[in-house]
Amino acid sequence: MTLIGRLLGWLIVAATFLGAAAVILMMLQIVADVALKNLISWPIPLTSILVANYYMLFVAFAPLALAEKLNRHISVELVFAHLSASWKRALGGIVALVCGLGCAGIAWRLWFEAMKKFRSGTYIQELDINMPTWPGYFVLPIGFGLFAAVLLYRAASAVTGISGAMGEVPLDQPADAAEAPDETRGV
Amino acid sequence: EELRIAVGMSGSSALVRGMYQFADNIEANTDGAYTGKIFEASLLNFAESMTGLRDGIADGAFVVPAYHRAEFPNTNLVGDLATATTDPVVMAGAVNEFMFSCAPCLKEYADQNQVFLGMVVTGPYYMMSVDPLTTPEDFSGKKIRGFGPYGRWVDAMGATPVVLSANDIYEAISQGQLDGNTHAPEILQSLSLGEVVDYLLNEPIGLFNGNSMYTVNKDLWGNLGDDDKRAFLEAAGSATAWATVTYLQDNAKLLADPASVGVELVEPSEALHAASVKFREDDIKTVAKDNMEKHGIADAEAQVARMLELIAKWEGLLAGIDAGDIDAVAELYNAEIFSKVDAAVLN
Amino acid sequence: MGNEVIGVFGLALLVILLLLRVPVGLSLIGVSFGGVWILIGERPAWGILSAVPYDFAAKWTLSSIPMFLLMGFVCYHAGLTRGLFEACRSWMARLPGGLAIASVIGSAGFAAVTGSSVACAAAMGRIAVPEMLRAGYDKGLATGSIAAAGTLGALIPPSILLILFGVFAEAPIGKLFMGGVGAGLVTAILYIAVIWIRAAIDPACAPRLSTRPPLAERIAHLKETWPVLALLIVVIGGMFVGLFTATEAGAVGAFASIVIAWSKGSLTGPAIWAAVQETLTTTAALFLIAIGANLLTRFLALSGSGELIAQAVIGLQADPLMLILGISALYLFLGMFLDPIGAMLLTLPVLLPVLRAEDIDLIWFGVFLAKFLEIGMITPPVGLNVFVIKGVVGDDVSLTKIFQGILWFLVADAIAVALFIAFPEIITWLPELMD
Ligand code: NA
Ligand code: NA
Repeated sequence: MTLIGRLLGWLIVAATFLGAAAVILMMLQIVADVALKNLISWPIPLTSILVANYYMLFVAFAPLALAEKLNRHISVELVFAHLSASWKRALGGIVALVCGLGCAGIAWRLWFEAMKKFRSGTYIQELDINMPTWPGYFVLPIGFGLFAAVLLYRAASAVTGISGAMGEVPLDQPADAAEAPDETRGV
Repeated sequence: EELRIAVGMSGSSALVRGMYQFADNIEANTDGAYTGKIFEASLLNFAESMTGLRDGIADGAFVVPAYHRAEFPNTNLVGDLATATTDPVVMAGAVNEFMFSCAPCLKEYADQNQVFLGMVVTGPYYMMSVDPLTTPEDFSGKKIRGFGPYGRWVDAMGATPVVLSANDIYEAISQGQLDGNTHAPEILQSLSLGEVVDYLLNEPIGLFNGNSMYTVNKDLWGNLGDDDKRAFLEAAGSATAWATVTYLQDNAKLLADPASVGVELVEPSEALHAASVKFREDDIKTVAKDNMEKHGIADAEAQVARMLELIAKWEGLLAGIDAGDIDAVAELYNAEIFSKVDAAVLN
Repeated sequence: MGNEVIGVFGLALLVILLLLRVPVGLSLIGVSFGGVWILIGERPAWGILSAVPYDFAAKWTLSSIPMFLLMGFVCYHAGLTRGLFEACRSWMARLPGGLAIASVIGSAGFAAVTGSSVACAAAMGRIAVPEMLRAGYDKGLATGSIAAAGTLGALIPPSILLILFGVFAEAPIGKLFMGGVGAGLVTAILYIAVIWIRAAIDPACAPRLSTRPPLAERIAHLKETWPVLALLIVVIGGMFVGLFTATEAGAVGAFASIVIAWSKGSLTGPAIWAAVQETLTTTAALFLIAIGANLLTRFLALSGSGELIAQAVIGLQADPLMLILGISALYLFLGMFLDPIGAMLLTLPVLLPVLRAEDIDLIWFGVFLAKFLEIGMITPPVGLNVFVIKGVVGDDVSLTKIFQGILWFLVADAIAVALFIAFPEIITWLPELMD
């Protein structure tokens, strides 16, 4: 259990690095594109395809598990906040189990879709260039798959009482806004 | 049975109304056995229509093969021939005759669990701009949005083609990052581009042959009886005529009264006109070459030649017909193409 | 069972799932998936699930969301915004409610560099609330003013709400941003007025600071506002001059904030890592909900319940004013419970055709809608800004106390909304200037 938790923790770190690289590269490429457009009228080719069909997918889906680990997914605490600790663990465990299975199903479906795109070699044509876009489809099943694994780990933690190996914020302790600002909620 | 028919946009465009026309035709042709409910942008957007139709989210959908070049290589070859004529009514006749006799094209649809029932042709596309661009010199140093053949036209006229999502056109032009756009004049109204551009160049560039509007789910098709299949085909034939002609007429109205969308129609100089005509001829060769080299279609040249033959044939067929007469065009499309299709070929 | 009934049952189930603390995004996805399955079958249900997430996220226009988030988080973690509050505080020290007024002005400044009102409330909450409590301010006023001022974050550009509205309504985002300037400033002025009046009526709730910092110190504080001002000039100025679009402005702003932090010497490794990590978790959480809401609109479309509601609205044959008042009531209600993005995405598919039919200016409406969604951020029982402030103050101030403090600002919001309806120019004059 602890070992699984630690392994998940490492996978989340890896996914976070991929997401972080995408955020930074996206920023740098858009800025460079803007600069070159204004300075020498030469927009960087494929910028919009790279941003939409690569970077955005990493930024949106790679950190799904990280957000779960840190309890940053938005949920309504209206009832939950008033439950006793043991009820919180029970309800939280059941919800995590159901959500985990659901996300696993989503990941499984998205994997098939990605394989379809891979087999047909999906691409977008920009002016003279054929830019493959199929690789981006694989980010989704990987992101949802890892998300599912973290949720199922949470469910198992609720049963075994072993937790913390992944470095996660426990279920019955909502993300502490004073410690880590809960800016994930709403806009 | 009520069919779910999806179109990725909403509004009063001839393309949206053409979907309603299709539903009405189906209802009339099957004596009410089948009706259609149109979902305007609410069920599937254009990017999702192909997979959504495949999975049966909709029974019928407006599919844009240009979004899926890898899945529809052959169908896209037809779409690439934008510059072969500037008459959409002729082009629609040729494209549909071609498509129904193009086994690889029909197989592309079958592989995605769907059935091709008709291609609507829109356009011609024109160039709209902030400054009047009437000579090749005017084009130099300008940035103009255009994809595919329209981008190549922009390039051939001496400007820089820019690829930009439709959402960003308005802002890019109003901020001066973009000097113009190529599209059917309708966009002046639908995206309010008339507010930011002032001139429309009276030089047709090419047509858009890629509106696979009446695609239906293959499982649904398989369950139809022979009579119903015929009814669907002719419903699509009539709706193809309806949408193609109506779209052309709507654009003609804007061209006749450009002030209504805030632009002035300007005439190209002789040199620009000549360059544009030459481009349109040359681009046919480019298309054949690109499809062979980049999209892996070995007999691209033969297919292009066949399309050109069909265009000539349809120019003849339509010579005696008023292209504005929807019923006459529909009758011709159905008599020459849609009624002759062997429904079994589509299974 | 009619399809519309299935739609309504789906919405009821959604509420139950939310109350069971199923994450909002997953609740939306689950209900939509089950609903589509019941309505048209298993294969389409899986199909819609495999198509929507990709097609929703793979958008150039939405790239500005993570970029603007990054800009805001860099500003916060590199301490670029603290100077703004310090300057406001030292200059407003003698005014009635000076600290609270300084917080509102500081929030307006921070709003110009963040797209999210929660980020704004969280950042200013940590800077200003402890300061006000120490000065002996009424707890309700101290917390309520920050929770309310946080809503400026999504009104004053950049604004993630306005970006999403622009994408869904196909309205130019640059114009929406300009419209948000008027609405945000009027809101800020009204909040300041509320604080001033309250402090004048009941001086005990906002004790004046006995000393005012000397002029030299105040001027020194003024200099510390340069990071925010520089960012503002780069982002808003560049957009206005036409160097880049609203979509590109996010990346430019994020980059500029990093450069400014570096030149200030406050660009530490941990700060940038925290900013990037928060950008990632926030984006993922936002997109999960937006995808769920997107799926829900498909389910509602299939069930026909959305259409039913739209027809009911149109059937009322109300004049535009009645329509707007009706929509206001609707959002006031939804905003009590729902996350703003969810509330917006749930309703736009139904409302947009009605608005177009009534010829209502979509720029004006987008900003108006953002205002209402932001009011929802501070109304009970679910007020996300309030929860954020509660997180900052811990057990010192009760939730009830914060909501009580907010009541005053809701009066200001009511006046603001009335002004937007009576004088739409407040919102529209800047966007029209762009033409
Ligand atoms: Na803002
Ligand atoms: Na609320």
